[in-house]
Amino acid sequence: MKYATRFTTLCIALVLAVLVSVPSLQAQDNLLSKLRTYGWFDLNVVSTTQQGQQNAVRFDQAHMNMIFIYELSDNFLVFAEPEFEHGYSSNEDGIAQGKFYLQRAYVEYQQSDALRIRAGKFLTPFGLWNIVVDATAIRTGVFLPSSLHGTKPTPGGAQRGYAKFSTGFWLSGNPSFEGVQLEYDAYIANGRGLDAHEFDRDGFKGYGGRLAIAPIPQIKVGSSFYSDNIGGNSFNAQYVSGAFELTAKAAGFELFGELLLANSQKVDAAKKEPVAGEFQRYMGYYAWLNYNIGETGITPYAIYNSYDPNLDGDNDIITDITVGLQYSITPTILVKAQAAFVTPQNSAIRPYNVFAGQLAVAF
Amino acid sequence: MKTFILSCVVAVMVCGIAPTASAQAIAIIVNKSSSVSNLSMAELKTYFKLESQFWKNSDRVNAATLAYEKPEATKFNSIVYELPNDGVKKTWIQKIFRGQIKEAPKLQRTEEEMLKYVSATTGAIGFINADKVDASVKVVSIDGATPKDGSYKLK
Repeated sequence: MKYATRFTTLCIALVLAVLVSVPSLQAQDNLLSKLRTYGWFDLNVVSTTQQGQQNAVRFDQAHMNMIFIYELSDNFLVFAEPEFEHGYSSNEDGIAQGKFYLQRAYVEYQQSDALRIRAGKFLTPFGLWNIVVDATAIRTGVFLPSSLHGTKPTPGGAQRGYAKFSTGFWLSGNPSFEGVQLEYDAYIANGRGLDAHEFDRDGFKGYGGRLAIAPIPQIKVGSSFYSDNIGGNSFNAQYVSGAFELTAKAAGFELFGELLLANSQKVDAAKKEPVAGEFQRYMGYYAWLNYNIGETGITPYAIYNSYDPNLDGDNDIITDITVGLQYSITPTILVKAQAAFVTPQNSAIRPYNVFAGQLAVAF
Repeated sequence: MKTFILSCVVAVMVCGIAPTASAQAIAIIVNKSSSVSNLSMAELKTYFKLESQFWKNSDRVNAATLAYEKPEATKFNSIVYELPNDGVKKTWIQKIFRGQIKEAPKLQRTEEEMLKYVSATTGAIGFINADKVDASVKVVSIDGATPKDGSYKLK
């Protein structure tokens, strides 16, 4: 066959292949009807009197998240959520400001109300908020209480009371028995190693679970458990934590409360290994009260938050009280203003205030 | 004569104001293939809140709601969700962000759309004014009561 003929044949084959592979308009419509998109956005204004940071009024385009849910069938779906934090941008040299990462990405199979299996990367279902940790558009408060959801000093460095993200398998369900609603979660994941979402080189696994029960619709109580070995500067030190949660809603009031207890294994920095049998104990708790004033969209709120990073240490408790006001312009557009008064127990550290405002939008 | 005229006026006013039992009732409708004919109020709430996303025969619950501006929707939301319309919208956003549901109940702009959706969708459940129900769907009783009964709770 001559080259020209071969070329023509190849072109025709390519055109046919493209035509066959491009879905028809109707098929494209069907594909799009299976895709649902949601997301949220927020902008913070923060000012603090904290020593060394006074007068630093800053604007922070804190989060811009997109949620994609693609329905594969009645029982299967794919969930993906990329997150841009702090006005992410990067220059030609690849130097980035802010963060851009995949917050959640998993395949889900839901067999029934009692059984849902997810495989991929997910926000660890620990306590009340981590599963929607950055979604400020669905709660009052500019920030989550640090006692449960901030990083704390541990012997090997600052860590949360649980892994924020987990990559692995997650089993969950919400069966109900005689009007009593139950929620459960159980998961196994890579844990906080050096490459928590790729190569789990240390071989240790993170695992945990959550159980919550709503005996009546207005009240839900639950507890969470998490354990892993932390890599990096913690040299695979063991970490175990447990939390208790309470949610109560009645007559416009919403009360949330959580208590976290954690044990992190001490580290011998010189030997670069954990110290057998020695742990630093942590305790933190908060109570968070909202009051929805009728249908005005106005919600005053108050949060009492306290944590002790080392129960065996002295003068290290940090306590803060936050008072704030939220106004829902629409159900999906919120503005908030709050003041937090932080009081360290250690008299060498000056008490300080944090003033914050937020515009949060869900879409 | 005056008494008679006054009685007539009062009777006309009473008849005009007092609705028939079904006029203000909200009927719960399901796809005709559904085996469900009665639900308790508690079950109804779990299906519409999407706390239960599967029927007992393992079909997916495809809940639908009327546009929130409609008075039937406002009444339904206050009885079933015990929330104002804005509160209901917030609930759906929270559930979607938490990964508990993939979408809110399908919004139907008119009662005709609702009938069309429920009659064409397996596992569908929706609600409309009881007077608008036709033969294309099946009406479910609540705690054993139908929209015509005095004890019916969705009025």
